[in-house]
Amino acid sequence: MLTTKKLQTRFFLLLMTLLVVVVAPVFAEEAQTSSAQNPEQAPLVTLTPVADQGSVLVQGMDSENDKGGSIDLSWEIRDPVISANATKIQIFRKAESDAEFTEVKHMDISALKYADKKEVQDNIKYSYILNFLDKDNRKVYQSGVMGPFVAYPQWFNTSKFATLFFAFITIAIVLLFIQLAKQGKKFYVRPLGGIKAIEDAVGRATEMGKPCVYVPGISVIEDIATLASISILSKISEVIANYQSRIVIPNYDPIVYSVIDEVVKSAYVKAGRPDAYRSEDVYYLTGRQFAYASGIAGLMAREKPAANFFLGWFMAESLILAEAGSMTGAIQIAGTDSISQIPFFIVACDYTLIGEELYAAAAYMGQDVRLLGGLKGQDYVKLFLMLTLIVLFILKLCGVPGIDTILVGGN
Amino acid sequence: MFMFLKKTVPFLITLGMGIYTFAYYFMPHRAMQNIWDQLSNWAIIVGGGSMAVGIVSMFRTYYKRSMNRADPNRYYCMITLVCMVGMAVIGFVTGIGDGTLFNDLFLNVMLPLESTMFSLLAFYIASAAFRSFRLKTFSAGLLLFAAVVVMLAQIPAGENISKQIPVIAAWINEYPNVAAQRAIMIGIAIGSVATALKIILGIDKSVFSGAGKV
Repeated sequence: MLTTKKLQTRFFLLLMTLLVVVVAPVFAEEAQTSSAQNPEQAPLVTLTPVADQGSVLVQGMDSENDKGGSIDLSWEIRDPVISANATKIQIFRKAESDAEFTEVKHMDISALKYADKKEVQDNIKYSYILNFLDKDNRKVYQSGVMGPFVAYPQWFNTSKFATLFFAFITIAIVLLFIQLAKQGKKFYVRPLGGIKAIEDAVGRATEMGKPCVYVPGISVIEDIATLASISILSKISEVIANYQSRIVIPNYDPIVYSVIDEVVKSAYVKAGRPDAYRSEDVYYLTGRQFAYASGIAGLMAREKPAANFFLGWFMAESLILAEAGSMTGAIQIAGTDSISQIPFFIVACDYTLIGEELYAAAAYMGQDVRLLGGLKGQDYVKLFLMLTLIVLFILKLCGVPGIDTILVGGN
Repeated sequence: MFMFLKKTVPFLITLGMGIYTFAYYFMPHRAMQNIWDQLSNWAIIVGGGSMAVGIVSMFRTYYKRSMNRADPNRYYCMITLVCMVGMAVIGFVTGIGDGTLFNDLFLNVMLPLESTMFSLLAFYIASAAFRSFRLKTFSAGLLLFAAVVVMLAQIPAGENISKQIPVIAAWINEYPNVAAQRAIMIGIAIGSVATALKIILGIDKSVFSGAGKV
């Protein structure tokens, strides 16, 4: 039988092992890269095939980490006469089956590389010629025929390896804690004031005989904030249905409206009160940001709701909504992952769910142990990331090369 | 059968799309790109169709309210309906290009109204600032101090009072502010992954039409 302490110890050991496993090879690779980038220490790394014309060194290769159909050309002018006189570069290309070269690009002499994506087909051999012209379009230098170069697609973007690794770590930890929760392990989750206030707010609205207004934000259905908001709404709707209160939900996006309509209807059915569902209270308002804000501000001024919920993704309309609601005297609960809008909600609302608390709210409100397990998993992922950052920070202070690349990440 | 269509089918579609989207981020191959392009086209078509659903919903809601004689606010609903139908008719009759009545109404009525709403933000910020900057606690005092310094740094008077004010304001913006924002961003990123995972794997099914088992 595993105790909590034993479990935590094993978990920390696992994390530290993973950290060493991932960090060590990356450092080794970075150290090699940084030494290779120093021309005094490392030989010139050449790409194949290479056409060295003496005066101009031209390199070509298939573009890395792409969907195919692209060849990267780069060149280095070594002859000062060419540098002094040439002002333009003409790039000519010939496919294996073509009879002659055709111009694909005309560039300024300052350009040092070109990604040829102009009707380049995969698995076809292409040859190139570069012409260097002066300001009067007279040929200063012409390279020999370079190539053949072949473009082909890649199945995996190697620059995203670190992202993939950390994504798997995150997923593994979250799934581990969900599994532990399913097995009956009890987890402590920090209580959030805003969550408890939601039920109190609905109770207050019921006592006052006034409706609640729920605003799901102005984002689309695939936004995590919108999905989290819908998840919370499904729980709130059940409470509303049980209390026989009323909720008004104006929507900004028609797809979000369709989903919310179904979710609220199902919540009423689940509460055993399908007859209490009012379809005219869940409706599409508008797809214009300030028209939406104006519509809801008007709704709040006329209906004088007892509680307002602003949960989802918001932009500049957040303060308009929160202040208009505040003036009606309603209790206001907001939550958003839009960082620039969090301060506005904090000053104008009674309770604010900050960032990830919005995602966690539905789990707090329900009894599903798997969702609570997921929350605990998130906390451990954060712990893992904090430890990683501290280790990388210390390594950076010790002068280990390549830390910046790991911290900033790939593209 | 009803539950299969209502819950299982959406879950299977979500699971498939979730796995594909995850893979697409790491796999640049043309085959993945082609599927993505196709799905994007479908999304545009679904989006266009859903607008019709939205318009029907809006029309039905406002029509019901307009017909409710007991509702003192029903005239607002009537105005909304008249404007919506009026703009649609004008658009169909005159077209929506430059110089048409539809375009003139949009540019000279709709946009100024939206700008007016946006400009109200300045007054709301002042009102919110007044409430939040009241010196009631130590935290409120810190907030007040930071706000005064940052605001003073935005105007020439700030630098005239002390050369240090812009320096302190820049420090507040670049260090405590950025640190707090990044902490929230890391939390949001992890929360997004966990939430997406729960939805993709069907652990949280509340977005598939309702919470739990109906």
